[in-house]
Amino acid sequence: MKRRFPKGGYTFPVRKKGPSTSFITSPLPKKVTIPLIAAHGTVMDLTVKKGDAVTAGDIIARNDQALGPAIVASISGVVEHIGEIGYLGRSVTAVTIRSSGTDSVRDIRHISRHQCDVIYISGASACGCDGIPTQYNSSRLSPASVTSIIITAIDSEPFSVLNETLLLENAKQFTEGVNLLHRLFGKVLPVHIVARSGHIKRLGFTGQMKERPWLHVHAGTKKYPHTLSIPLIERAFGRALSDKEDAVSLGCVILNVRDVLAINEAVNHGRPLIEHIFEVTGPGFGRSALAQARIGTPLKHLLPDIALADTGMRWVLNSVMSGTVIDDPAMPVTPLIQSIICIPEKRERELLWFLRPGSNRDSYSGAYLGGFMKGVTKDFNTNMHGEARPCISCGWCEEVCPRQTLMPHQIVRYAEKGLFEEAARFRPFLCIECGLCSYVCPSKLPLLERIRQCKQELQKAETP
Amino acid sequence: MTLFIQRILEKIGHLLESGPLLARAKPLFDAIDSFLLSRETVTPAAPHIRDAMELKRFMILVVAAAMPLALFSIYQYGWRAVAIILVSYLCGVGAEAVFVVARREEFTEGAFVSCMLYPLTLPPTIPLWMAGLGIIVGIVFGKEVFGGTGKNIFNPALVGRVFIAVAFPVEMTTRWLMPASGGLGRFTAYTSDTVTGATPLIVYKGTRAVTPVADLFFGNIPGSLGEGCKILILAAGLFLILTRIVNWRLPVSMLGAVWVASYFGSALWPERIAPPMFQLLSGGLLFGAVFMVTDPVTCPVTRPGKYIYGVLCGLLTVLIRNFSGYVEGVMFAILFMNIFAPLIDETVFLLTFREKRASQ
Ligand code: SF4
Ligand code: SF4
Repeated sequence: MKRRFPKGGYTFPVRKKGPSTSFITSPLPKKVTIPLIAAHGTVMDLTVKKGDAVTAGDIIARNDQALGPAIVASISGVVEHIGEIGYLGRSVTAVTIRSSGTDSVRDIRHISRHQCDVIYISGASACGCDGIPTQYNSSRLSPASVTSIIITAIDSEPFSVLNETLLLENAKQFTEGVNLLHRLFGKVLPVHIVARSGHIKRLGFTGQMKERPWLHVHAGTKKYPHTLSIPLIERAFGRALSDKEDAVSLGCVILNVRDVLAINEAVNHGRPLIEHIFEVTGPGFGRSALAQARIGTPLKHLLPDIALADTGMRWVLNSVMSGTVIDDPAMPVTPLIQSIICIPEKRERELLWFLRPGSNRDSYSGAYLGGFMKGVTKDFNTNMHGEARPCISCGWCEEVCPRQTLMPHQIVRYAEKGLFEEAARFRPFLCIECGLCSYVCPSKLPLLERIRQCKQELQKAETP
Repeated sequence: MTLFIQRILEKIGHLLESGPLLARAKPLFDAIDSFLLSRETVTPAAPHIRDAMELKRFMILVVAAAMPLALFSIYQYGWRAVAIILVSYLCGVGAEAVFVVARREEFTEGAFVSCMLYPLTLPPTIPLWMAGLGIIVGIVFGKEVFGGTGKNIFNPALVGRVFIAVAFPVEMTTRWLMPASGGLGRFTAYTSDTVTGATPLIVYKGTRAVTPVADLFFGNIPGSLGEGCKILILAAGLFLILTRIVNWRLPVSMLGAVWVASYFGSALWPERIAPPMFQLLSGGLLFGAVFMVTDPVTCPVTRPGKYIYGVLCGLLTVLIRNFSGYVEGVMFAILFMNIFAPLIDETVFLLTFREKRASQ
């Protein structure tokens, strides 16, 4: 039997909402605050000063020496203020632009003949897990070292619908984008798409593959975390990666559907990356919606609910499995936002909880009726569902872990006692911090936290 | 209702804080508190959602799987079976509670499983005090001396069972009851006086006579309380495997090893080794393979380790049964292999990671 990669993973029984997702849009904002932040945390050099007039699409900050994309103005108006704000736990410079009321956008199509230039100038190089490589240092990869492009068209995060909805609604543009990507870096690159088998059929990818020898479409599952970059590469390449290999060392550019659409917009239609699409979802929100807003719009303009206090809801950024809580409702929209998930906090105590049949509960082990009743919406909330206990070596964390040979329980066994050197034997650097082990652990051990801590300690020990 | 109980519990909780002596009972109170009502704790950080499975549920499912066996033992041997189980719970949970209070640790749910499984391995005529003594020894020396659940090397139920088997061999091996069959069985009786001296394994050891498979399968034979009906044991095993509580590798490799060893053994050495079907269905083998080898704490954690462990348990069982003075070897074999579980794991780790280093 041929082995399938990646291993492990878990499909969350979240009822499928299908493409009938709603949209949240906001009118042109009067004022935007654009944090000069990139995934890599580089300091950008401002190219505007207070009082300057800008047009949407003008570059307002860049740093061609250090790692990071160019950042463009998202509305036309006047730079009103430049100052520090807190963003994602860091202090970053932010540019506030007051709208002039006109909605003119710079057409960047004719700026350069090189598509990579266009991608950089449009700000679209901020897309992707690690940025799009250009000659301006916008990714840890250089255009010459790219060996393949891998696109995920599946949502595996619980409650997430973003990729699949965008794929079905913009199939034509997606194909245009893919056609553009394979020759973006001056050579023909293999493009791997991982999509659900139903979508592969529906969008005729199989036929396209015959005409385009560089295109490889793989059927993937909705198992979390199989759409994170490392399991995705394992799926595309059909082999397990070691703890030394990652997207950068293998020269893979990892994109999702939205990134492909943004690149297509920039290169084929000359539209800079002034708008950002992300999703708002989760059981506390009650539905799934795609939100579309100018970069720099405060979240609370789009989602008034997020600013309400004491609603008993927790708003989480990007992933319920590994993301952080949104504590600032005025947080501006940036390309770093993938999704915003709202889950109910649950503090009530319930009588004889563990004895109940639990048709609305989710359990990896199928120990509740919920595992067999697919139609019933599962009640996801922030309750721990149990108490911390010692590890009983049930092995579920290992079974569900997406990485080959990684044994979370062994790492944690030693890391808990501070024996990080011992723990290093079990290769903690294989861990991609998906959080699935913590999710399934019946002893409610904070495995993810411990492994993160262990990695930090080991890194500290290495760099004196 | 929930709120009412919550309020009462809160009141008792406050009361316990009032004196140093009362405060020592806190772990016991916490155990009862969290047994009745689920906790209000929410996830402190990512992942923000958690699986609904918890250790209480984990343990209760094992107890639930063993419950039909307990019921069947009432049918076969009368209500004395219930008395034995109750004594086991009283003494076992009592011993655990003493340690919990003395150590000021949290009460863990493992004891509930040990106290359920242990009596099912006993002969129906066992004196009640002996049953109680066994589980106390099991919990104390099998678990608490190692630091409690999760740290124990030996399966507490097995420690208790082996202790009384060694200490009181007469009571443990010579007085069996012929089970009832048909009608209401002994649902109407406390116990039975028809003591017989021999289980199928004893018969085999003496006369080489093999009990018919159908009798073995449906439990129409004298034996320990819980090992009667093989269908119920298999059903329990299947249930536990489906809920992932039992790792299928362990029972399958153990039973497989027994089958292979006795298939070839009985062909080569028929006067010594019993035929495979008889081996598989007699004594406590199935019960041990479903409930005892599979204890996650005392078996190896690595996948290859689990196969090795299961196979060795199986082989050892056949050896003890056919070549030693004892008639039944399952419990000894598993307890003996418990010692080697960490060693097996360590060997597997060494091999796995050496191979990886070489390939890089
Ligand atoms: S060990 Fe790391 S990669 Fe494995 S499940 Fe846990 S968080 Fe995910
Ligand atoms: S899931 Fe939890 S209890 Fe089970 S082996 Fe892993 S850490 Fe231990």
